[in-house]
Amino acid sequence: MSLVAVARKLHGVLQPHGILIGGICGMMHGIERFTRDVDLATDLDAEKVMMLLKNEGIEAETNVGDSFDRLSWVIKGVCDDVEFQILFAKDIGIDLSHGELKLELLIASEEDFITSKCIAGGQQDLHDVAVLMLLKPALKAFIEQQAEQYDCQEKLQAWLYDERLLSRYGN
Amino acid sequence: MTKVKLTRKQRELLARAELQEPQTIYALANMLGRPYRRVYDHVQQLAVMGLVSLKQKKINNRNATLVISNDIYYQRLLRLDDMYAAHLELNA
Repeated sequence: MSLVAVARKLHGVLQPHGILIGGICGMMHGIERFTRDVDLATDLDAEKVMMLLKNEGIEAETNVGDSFDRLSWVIKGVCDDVEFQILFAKDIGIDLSHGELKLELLIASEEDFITSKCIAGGQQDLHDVAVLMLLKPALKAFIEQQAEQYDCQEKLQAWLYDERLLSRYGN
Repeated sequence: MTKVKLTRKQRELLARAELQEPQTIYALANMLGRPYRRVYDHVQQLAVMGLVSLKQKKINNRNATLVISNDIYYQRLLRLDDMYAAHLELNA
């Protein structure tokens, strides 16, 4: 089964409470990079999600965050040989009502996608934010504001000076 | 992009083409439960409007026409799957 088919399947299992985030969402917003897994966010609680997955015969496990963790829980599993994870939307700045429906898949809005990436704060996350900033200059002010709020300006700046990124996405 | 007015049947056909891997006209007609000839005509009309591309392919030694949506989001999802398939091949 293809990556997108798995994304559709998991998205369907969670409906109407699931939204695509991560690499697939990024690709839909124009960030061309490889991704090997499916990331979703939901406004359901972990127990409900696990029950829905179990009903569909999809194996997964819940990792509960501790008081130091910014995530309440993360559900990880494998569906048709594709790894997936499901996060609690509120933990990562995702609001399902902001989602955009593309080809019957609900994907996080550009703004929520940026917020979630700034909260995550990893190199790959800031790469994606930098690409969006180069692709869509209208988002610059919002991105700078989020990067400051979540203290990731340095990583973002490093990517904005990355020659490969500039040659691919810069003007 | 210029807005074009589609009939309900054309919209259904386009939606189906966007939700599947590239399909032959014959397969699309089967999925939609419509006569091949009508679907063929609608596919040609969608192609003229620039909403789908047509690609000739030999399937089981017979010539077939694959219908590929030109929707930008569809193209992005296709590329995502292509990259994933290439990754699986490399790691096989």
